[in-house]
Amino acid sequence: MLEVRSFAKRYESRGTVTEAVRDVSFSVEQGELLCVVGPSGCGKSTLLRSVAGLDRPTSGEILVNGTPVTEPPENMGVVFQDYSRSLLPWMTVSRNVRLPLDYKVADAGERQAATLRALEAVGLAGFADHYPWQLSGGMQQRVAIARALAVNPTLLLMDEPFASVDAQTRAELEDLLLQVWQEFGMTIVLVTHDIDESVYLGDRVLVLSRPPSTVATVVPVRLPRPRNQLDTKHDSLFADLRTEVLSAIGAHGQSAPAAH
Amino acid sequence: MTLTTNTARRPEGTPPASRSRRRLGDSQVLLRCSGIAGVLVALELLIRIDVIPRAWFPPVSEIWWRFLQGLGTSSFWGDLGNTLLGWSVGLGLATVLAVPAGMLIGSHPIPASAFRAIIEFLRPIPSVALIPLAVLLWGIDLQTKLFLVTFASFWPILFQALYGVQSVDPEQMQVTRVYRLGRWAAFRHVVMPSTAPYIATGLRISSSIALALSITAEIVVGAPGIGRSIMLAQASSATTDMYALILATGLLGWGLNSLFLRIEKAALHWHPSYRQEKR
Amino acid sequence: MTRRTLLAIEIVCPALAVLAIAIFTSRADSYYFPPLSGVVQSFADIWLSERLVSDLLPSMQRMAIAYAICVVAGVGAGMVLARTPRLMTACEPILEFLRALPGPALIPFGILLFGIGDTMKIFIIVLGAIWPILMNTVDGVRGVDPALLHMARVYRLPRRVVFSKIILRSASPRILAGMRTALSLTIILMVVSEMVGSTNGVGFSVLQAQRTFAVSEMWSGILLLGLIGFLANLAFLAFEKRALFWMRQR
Repeated sequence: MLEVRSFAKRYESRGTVTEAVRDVSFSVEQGELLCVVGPSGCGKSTLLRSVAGLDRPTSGEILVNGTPVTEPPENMGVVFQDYSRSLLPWMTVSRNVRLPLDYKVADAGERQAATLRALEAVGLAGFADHYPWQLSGGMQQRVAIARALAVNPTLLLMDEPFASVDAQTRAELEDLLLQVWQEFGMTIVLVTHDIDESVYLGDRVLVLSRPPSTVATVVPVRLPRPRNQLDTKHDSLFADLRTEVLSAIGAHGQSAPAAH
Repeated sequence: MTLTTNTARRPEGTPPASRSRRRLGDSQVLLRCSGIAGVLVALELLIRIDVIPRAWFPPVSEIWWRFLQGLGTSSFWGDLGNTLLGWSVGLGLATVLAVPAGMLIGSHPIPASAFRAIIEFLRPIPSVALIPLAVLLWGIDLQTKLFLVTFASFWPILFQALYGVQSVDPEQMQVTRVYRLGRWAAFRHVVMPSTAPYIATGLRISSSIALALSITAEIVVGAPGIGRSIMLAQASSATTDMYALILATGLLGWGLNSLFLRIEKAALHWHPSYRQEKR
Repeated sequence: MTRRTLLAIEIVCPALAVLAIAIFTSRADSYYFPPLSGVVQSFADIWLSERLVSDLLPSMQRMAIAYAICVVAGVGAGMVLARTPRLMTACEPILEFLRALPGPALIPFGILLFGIGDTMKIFIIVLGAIWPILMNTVDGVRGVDPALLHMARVYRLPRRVVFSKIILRSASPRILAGMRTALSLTIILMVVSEMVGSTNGVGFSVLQAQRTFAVSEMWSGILLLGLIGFLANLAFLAFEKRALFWMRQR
């Protein structure tokens, strides 16, 4: 489904070259949920932006369904970290969700149905006529997720999607994500800095090293599904996986964001 | 616009961070110079090959030449002096009146309420509407010019001083009370530094308004200064003189604006947007 | 201090001010400051009858046309300049110069080109009032949040939609701020250009009243210009509030 080969990214400014990502290769299966974690500055967001076609790697190749990515691929949804900046405040919730469809789906009824279905999936059917700024942060991020779902994506990219909400809301949104993933069955690549989150959500966790980044390790998550916040996080396997990811990052001595 | 505190709203005319933060590289300086040169050469050519009739627009080189010649004449400097006299005294008067008034009105809800409607009514009145009154009272004397300049440049400074006082961080004020600094110390160390950048912005806006009103008084009323000379040059068909004087006016406006932008930056040195700029 | 007391102060104080002016002018028996009642009377006599058509209407017409040109040309040029940074850099010194040049200084230039007709006035107004709109559009368009543009690219929105629904809308607070400044410049330049070269218009007739020492009439003209400025500002604020409804909660 998605294949990244020898991805590298270097920045050049005023003569000095900064090597952010040296060599990252991995692939993602159809319908898989892959989480990407790594220390801050390891280029995980850059990687995601390149998969989205918003950025170009310095060298290496990214293939989505066998096609090299040179511009944002079709049938892709993206959820950005900062919901308050990616939603249009002058449009209602349903207009925001429908906007991409207006130029993709010809039939008005179909557009309306897809919008409604997406809003229902994130539990916001009753807020279609509200404006984003009338909603809480968590609800705004649900709108962003609904907008991504509405295009019926085969690939959903998420860049630290729950980093800007409080802990309680975060847990709710994580479960919501698992639920819509079940319902829509797309492939998901989710970047996060929260190790618990990566283990809780992912089929596999891709751990990047400090910059210049390489793949430190890939941790398969053998936790049973369906998962839920109480049982899964108290599973002893969960604790083991956490430790494994944590040690791969090499964050000994740093406090893990486990207390979130 | 209301007089109530509104932190979300930037004070009017604050220089946008995007523009001031940019530093010019060599290529950009080159591009700017070529932009100026391009326009001047194009104009010169269009006039020389008679696309633009000479009666309307003499060649740019002639205008510049006349401008430089003018720099050697006493009449030009006399005009400039008269215009700047109106500008400086009017702006000074406006500052002396508007800064204390704005700070007083802004410092307490009672005066803020009392003056709100009056200010909101007076401010949008076009200053030039008062030209006939000023002429009736003072003829073409300096007072006419000063009255117009002062009235027009009063408002931006008043509003900026008012916003400035209202934008003082209440927590900083509490700090001064906790440490029993006294009113004067609080004013000097908290109120003044927070308000100064706003006042500086007001001064910059008012400076260009003051110049415009000075020129207007000279053109409409006939008070001595560059404006009157532009009008006289046009009336006597001395077209090149007219353009040379307009050029001088533009350069004067541009120079004053640059000067006040510098003052504004100096007043803002402690502000986060400026600290970022220095990095 | 309750809100009600403050509101009472807010209403009573201006009323007292007007009353004071009325009493002062009726007692003063001054040649320069005729009684307020007389000014109001002459306002009704002059501006609500024949001058409405002969002077007020032409003035409003010039204003409306010139302002419309300012908005359309200013926003259009600003958009183009903001999207072509090299062109903007090249044009910047010229723009700075033109913006710093006080509008009234160009009136003789306008008269030379177009005589004293409407074209001259519209030309002068546009040349003097377009800059705030143009510069603010450039700043506004440059300041559009890149996150929005990324979103637009990810969802493959067409260019014209990105322009009209995202860029223009995002920049609208800045554009409107420029339009507001331009509106007051428009009124000022309308008045000045009518005072210098005209045979009709509010500016012309106010100055004419002063020259013929018709003091009440002059005051009524000043009152009218004040009202025009005040009402135009009020209307603009109402418009701005509607257009920027989405900014209230942020």
